[in-house]
Amino acid sequence: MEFELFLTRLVQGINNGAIYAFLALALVCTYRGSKALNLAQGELAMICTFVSWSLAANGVPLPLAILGGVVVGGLSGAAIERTLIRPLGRDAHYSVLLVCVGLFLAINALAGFIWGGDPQSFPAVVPDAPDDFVPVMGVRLRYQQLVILVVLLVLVAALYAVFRYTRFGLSMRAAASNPDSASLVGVRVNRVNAWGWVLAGAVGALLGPLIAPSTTLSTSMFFTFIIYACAAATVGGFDSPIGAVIGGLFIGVTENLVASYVGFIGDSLKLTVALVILLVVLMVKPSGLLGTREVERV
Amino acid sequence: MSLELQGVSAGYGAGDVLHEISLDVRPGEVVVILGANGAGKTTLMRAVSGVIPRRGRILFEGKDISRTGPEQIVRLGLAQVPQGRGTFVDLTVEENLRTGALSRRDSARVNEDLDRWYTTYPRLAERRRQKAGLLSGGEQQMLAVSRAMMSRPRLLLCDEPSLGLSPRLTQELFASLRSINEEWDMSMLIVEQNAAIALGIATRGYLLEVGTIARAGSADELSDSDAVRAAYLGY
Repeated sequence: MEFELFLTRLVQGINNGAIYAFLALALVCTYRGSKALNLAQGELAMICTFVSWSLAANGVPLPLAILGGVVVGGLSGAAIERTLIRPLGRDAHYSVLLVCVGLFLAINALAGFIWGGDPQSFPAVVPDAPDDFVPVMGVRLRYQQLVILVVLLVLVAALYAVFRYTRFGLSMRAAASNPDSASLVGVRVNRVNAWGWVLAGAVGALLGPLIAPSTTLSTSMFFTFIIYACAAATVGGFDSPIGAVIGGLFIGVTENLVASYVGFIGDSLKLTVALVILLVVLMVKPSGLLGTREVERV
Repeated sequence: MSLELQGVSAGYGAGDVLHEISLDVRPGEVVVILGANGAGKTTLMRAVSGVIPRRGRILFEGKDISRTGPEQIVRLGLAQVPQGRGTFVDLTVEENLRTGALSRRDSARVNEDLDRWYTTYPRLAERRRQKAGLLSGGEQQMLAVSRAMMSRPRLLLCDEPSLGLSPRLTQELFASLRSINEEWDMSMLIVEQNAAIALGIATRGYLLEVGTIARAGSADELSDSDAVRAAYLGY
């Protein structure tokens, strides 16, 4: 009985962690190339989810509606990179961060303007009634949560394979590692970085419709997730997709177990647990668990 | 003519570093550009490879490339070994070499070339799976040269290849540049502070002083010239 409870809490942690990891994956995609921490990533995902919702509400089959949102996400990513990020130049880290904060507010306001402030319910891609779960060792694995986890794992495996084994991936990694050398060997660095934003926009737009059935669709649905995602990416290493996933799951599981077993923390101090993990990682290993340490030979 | 510069000026923002430079490299030649720190040697390299904006005419095999970007220039057959080697430190040695072939379309023959450079530099072969940032300075320089050669260029620019290398490694490196020149009939433009060793493999040379060509001549003429001796050879 004790053990079953523990497993249930573990699975809850994994479910939350998968969401953090998913969004962190999108953060990693832009960070690798442009070195931009896109704080507006969650808002971009949110507005794309509204697009999917509108499509679905107008009779488009749900999978196609989600695909529509994903396409909008990718295109928006490219547009943002081209018009707001690239003109600032390669080393304008703080300006880029400020632009992202501005973008956060702008997208949030735009979504409120178009779709209003009321939360909407979002249809689930798989049956999501109370009895739609697989029981494993007494723990309920809900279909919807399994879908998120599976999509996440497939995505990270695909990204890893692309980065590791394709010419395009090699170009991306070269551009991230040393932009000047990369352009000397023929990599079109700006174009490669733009693809990072396309990927990020699409990944975020895929996450939104997967979580919206349980969080409900609203302009504030990503507010806390983006903080968790930043923490996950920091823990895992901002330039490592696999690190982002490990970081996300680690934070999700740890905060849930701590909140369950340490009396005074409970649900109200959950986010604090994530921030403590973040702080410890920053002090002990600033580049994250799997991130690239900045080394320079002089 | 492999490379021809006609009245090229370039700089960074405020004011020019290079003033109306004219020089040429004939096919198969090794041309060396000597100059002190701050003479504009690296700026010259960056102007030719398209990394910085420049004015004047730069002809590569007769084609004007003075408005072409670096990504395109390498595709035309002009590769650069950048100053400080420009290693992709967090990629493996083999991945670094493969980036050199990113500009190529004939991916089937890339592996052949890879083996060729592993044979030339066995130390790279031993460390092919290691992160390139862990290589010694000399090994990174070999890597930079082979990476540039992986694009199958017809003209190789080398920016201060001896930088940070011991005298023995510098000797080895220049010996291998000479054999690349001979085996591949590779035209080369080398910028170097170490005049003695660079003139040793060069056909001709130019002396760059505060952004202008102060002197030009065959390698022998430059070695014998009092000005070069006093300033760069130290005897």
